[in-house]
Amino acid sequence: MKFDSSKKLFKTNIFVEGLLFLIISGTVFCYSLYEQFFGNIDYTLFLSPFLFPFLISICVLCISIVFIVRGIKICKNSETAIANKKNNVIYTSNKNLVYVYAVFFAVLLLSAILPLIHFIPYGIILIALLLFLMNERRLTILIIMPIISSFVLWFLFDYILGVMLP
Amino acid sequence: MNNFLDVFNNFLNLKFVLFVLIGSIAGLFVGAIPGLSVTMATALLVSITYTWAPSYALAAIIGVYVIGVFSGAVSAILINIPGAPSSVVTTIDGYPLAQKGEVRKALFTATIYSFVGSLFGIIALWLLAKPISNFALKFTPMDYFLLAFFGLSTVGSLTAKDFYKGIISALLGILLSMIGMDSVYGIPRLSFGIDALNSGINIVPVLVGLFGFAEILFVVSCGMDQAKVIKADSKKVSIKEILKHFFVSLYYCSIGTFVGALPGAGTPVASFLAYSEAKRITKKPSRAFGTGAIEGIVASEAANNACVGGALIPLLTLAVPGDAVTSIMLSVFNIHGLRLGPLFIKTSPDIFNSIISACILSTFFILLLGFFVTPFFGKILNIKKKHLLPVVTLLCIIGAFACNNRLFDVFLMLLFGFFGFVMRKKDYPLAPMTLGLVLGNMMDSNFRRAISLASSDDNVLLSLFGRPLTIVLASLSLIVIINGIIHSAKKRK
Repeated sequence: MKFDSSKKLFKTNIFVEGLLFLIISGTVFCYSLYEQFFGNIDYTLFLSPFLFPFLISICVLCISIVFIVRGIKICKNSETAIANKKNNVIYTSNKNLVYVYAVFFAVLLLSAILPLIHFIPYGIILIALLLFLMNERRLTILIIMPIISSFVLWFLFDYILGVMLP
Repeated sequence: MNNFLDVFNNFLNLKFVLFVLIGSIAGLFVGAIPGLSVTMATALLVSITYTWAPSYALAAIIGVYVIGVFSGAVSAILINIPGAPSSVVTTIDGYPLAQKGEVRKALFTATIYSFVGSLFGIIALWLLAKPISNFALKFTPMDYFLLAFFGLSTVGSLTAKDFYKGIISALLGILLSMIGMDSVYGIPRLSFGIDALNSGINIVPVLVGLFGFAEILFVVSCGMDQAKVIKADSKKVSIKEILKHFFVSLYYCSIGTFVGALPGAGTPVASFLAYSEAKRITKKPSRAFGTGAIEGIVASEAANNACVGGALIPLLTLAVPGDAVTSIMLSVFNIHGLRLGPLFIKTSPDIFNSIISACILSTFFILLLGFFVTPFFGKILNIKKKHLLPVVTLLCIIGAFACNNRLFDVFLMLLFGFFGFVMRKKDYPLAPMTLGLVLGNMMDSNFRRAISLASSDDNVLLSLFGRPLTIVLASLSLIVIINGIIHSAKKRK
């Protein structure tokens, strides 16, 4: 029973967000104090560069506690599944999310090989891949649009505006 | 008089006019096409304007800003989807009027009153900037800190559904701004030994990620359905009939300018306020409100466009931006080595005059584009998002890379794009984070300077908070925070 409630708690959005902020604030808090007292800092805390991060971490800490308490309250009160479904559970079934991840990772992976290829082939591959991921299946568009757009952007930025391209 | 002539002198500079026109056309597209935003376009523009002269860079960005706010009304009228948040209210009467076969009337009303609103805001900016700058010269470091603090707390509380989410977004922005060398002593902070972070997080890739790539991911996550576009009619529109609302529109303009000058409230709040005022003061509307009342379009468009001038007042005179677009504009000034604040008008009068000139030119482009281009905009609104978004993604990559010519910035942009997408999905507003990022270092240095000055006094607290202006700013910030906490607690109950 106890295992079930803690599982439910970790599925509550606001609780998990609170925990995440708690970790961030804790890290910055410890880091600021460590750097102030064990780092090569010759200034008192009031004049130290680590004073502001220290103060901000305390504010984040307070809000993270508010979120955690809220999450516990929600978990206690949410007897019905409806309350959870509304906005408190992380894993909502959203088929569009698959497309989001696909687009993100496609751009990320392609950017990793960007230094190996020129801007124009990169642009052609990227646009064609994204068009395909966004459900474009017409071959003419998949071929013509990436080529034209990449050349137009290259001409506009590199040739006319003088912007350094990858 | 000299000032007046300098402003008009820019109109004779064809290159300057061309940059404003390019910005205006870009603004028309991004403002009208749902899925693209003015903030996204401004962020992208920042990265390509590095090598431009500051006045040309600002001319293009102001063109995007002014026309982008106006053109949100085009899609609001033609497809019932506001292209920009500022035009949410315009859909209430604009779309029903278009459905009744009066597309041109709706578009021309939006055009004329957007023009009136913009011009009103700019005149207010022109007249008020100098007195406010003179007043701001009396500000101490503590006042600057409190002013930025007040700005952040209002933006945090007004832009989020949940007060705490707005505030935490601002705090994260401040934390991110502190990564890199400390501005006072030059000591690296929060870089965790990563060399690329020692120079700090470059704001441009972050902004392109938060407002460009995140927007793309958000549109993908919402599905890419196309809306039906209403075709423009060929009925003749009586301009005289539209102009009969001119005097009452000045009232909506003053609401817009005032709201625009407040941090955080922004264009949607201004148009909502003006619309509710229109409902209150209009005894006999042309049609019932919500069914195509011309008075509703007048109120919404006059107020949201007047916001532009209003929002520029605190940005130029106090270096405190009120929303995401003005935060990005602040970074443009930083990139070009211009220091905003009370001395800005004195030290850079030519840039100030260029801004006023660009604003005035953009308002005239509202008329030009509104009358001659928007009636035929239906075809552009028909462009499928799945064809547009891949090109915008490539633009984001170019924008992120262009600022430093490093691949690291492209990855930073992608990371912040995903981060921004998650934040939007979880109802965390992005504007406070942007503001925190832009104002963080200024807050930090002023706070430490204030403490350093006060530490030599006998009574530290009196030295920090002993001035009337400081007390007012501290009280205002406290009121905003306490009100946010109480409001949030009531909402939970």
